[in-house]
Amino acid sequence: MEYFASIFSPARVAMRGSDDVSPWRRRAVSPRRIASASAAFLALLALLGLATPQPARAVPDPMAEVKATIDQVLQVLRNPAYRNSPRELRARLRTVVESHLDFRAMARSALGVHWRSLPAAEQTQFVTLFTRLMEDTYIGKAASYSGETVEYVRSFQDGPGYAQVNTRLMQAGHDPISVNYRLQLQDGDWKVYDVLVDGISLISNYRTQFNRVINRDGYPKLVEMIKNKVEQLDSLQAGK
Amino acid sequence: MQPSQLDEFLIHGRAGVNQPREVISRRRRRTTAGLGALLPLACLLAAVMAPARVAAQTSGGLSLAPKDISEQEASMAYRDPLAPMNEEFFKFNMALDRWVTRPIATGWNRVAPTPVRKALARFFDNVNVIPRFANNLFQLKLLFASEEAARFLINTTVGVAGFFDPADAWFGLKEHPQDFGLTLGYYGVGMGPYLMVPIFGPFDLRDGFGYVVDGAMNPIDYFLSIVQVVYVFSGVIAVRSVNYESLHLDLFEDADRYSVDLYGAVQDAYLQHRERLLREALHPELRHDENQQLAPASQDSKTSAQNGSSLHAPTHDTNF
Repeated sequence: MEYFASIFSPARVAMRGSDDVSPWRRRAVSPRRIASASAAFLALLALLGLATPQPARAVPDPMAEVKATIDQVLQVLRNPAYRNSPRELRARLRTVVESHLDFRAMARSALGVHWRSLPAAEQTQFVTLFTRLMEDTYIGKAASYSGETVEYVRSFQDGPGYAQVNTRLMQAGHDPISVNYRLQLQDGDWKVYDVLVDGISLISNYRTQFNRVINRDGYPKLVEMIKNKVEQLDSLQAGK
Repeated sequence: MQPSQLDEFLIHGRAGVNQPREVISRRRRRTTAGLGALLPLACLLAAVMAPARVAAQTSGGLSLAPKDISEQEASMAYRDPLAPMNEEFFKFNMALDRWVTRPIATGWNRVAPTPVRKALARFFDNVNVIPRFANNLFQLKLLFASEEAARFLINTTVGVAGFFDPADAWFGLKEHPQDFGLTLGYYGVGMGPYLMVPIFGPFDLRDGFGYVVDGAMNPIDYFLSIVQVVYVFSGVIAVRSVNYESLHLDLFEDADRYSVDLYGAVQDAYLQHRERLLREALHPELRHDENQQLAPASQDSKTSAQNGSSLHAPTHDTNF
């Protein structure tokens, strides 16, 4: 059904999979092909005896999505029930954040060229390990939450399916910290694949670190180091 | 001349990049007439440095375009050929930080309230006006240079020797950070290898050289003997860096805590920071973008398209 709809309407072709209706993509479908395709489509419709146009799926606003997620996170952080139970806080934060972060893209990007040389099973293992490292990082940061608020500066899109949302973390008595989220559109949802704190890309930073370790001591050593780091952070957070 | 054109020239140091040639020359002539006395110096600098700049542009000196991972890795490997030496100096600097700077900074953090430490940071910032002024001038950012001069006059007098910043608070005059490393980068000089300098911390060759040049601009050099200058500078640097660390203790602790390889984390953060500053030196409107609330979200895709430069470069290759 979707296939027919897409040949029928050139605009739909552009809508599918991306929000950016770029002119060159629209031009790719020639009028003659549209004419013949629509004739075929109409014939098919007549044959089937039904005409139910599929409503185009609206692409959500990236800033609204980021804001909704951060609002939920702040709600959890402000909830006194979780103050003294890091395990519950962690579980709660995980459920809130999980579906909005693309850990696989992050892990892949952090490994850079080395990703391709790993067998699929090891890639999956690495994603799991990296996810734990990221969780420990943001949960560790969240645990030191002391009433900061978030200001939403602006968002913009660049190319089809990519967006950045610029925010500022406002702390009493300190200069605001710029925190910018880079998002990629996946199945109609914006997913964070990188965070820039004060202009510094977190994933690029990990990539430099991982690349150094791999080149010097090899991939198994990197896995060992990340495991140690995760355990260290876990015990630190459990002790709190 | 319309104010927007003048502003564009003053801020960017170059009039309409995408304009037809005759429009540019007409604008240049009119600007020359308008600016009078300031321009001969600027023209001289432009004449000296223009060839290098053109070369930088044609060889893609600006790295806003999406980078392939392998390209990134290649540039990174190139950047750190001195890794064995750097790592030793990094160990030394970490030990210095752990046993000397951090304890003092932590103590200072406890003793002095934040407003006091911030005022001290502003004081050092104000004293350091000359490199900012000179390098804005070198990059033909005459408006920025004059704003730096105005800031210095206001903050040194009304702002009590620079401990306060009424120039920003009352007159909306923002600081325009510049240094000689950025000027070199602006005219197309590459970063060169990464350096970890004992005591001073991370640099790349270009910015380390720039740091020395900026230091030589300090008028104190001409009044004191070399030995005295060394004493004064080391004192100033010690106090400034302790004060800085006391204001950013959590940053230093986070770097320790969350990084897997601290050397790599520091290196990457430093290089990203310098690249960002250079990007903002080449495109001052990016700095504006980052720091200020612009149009409402719905119009943002348009504004970023008008900037003409791709701010948002996906850092990963999707075809793995």
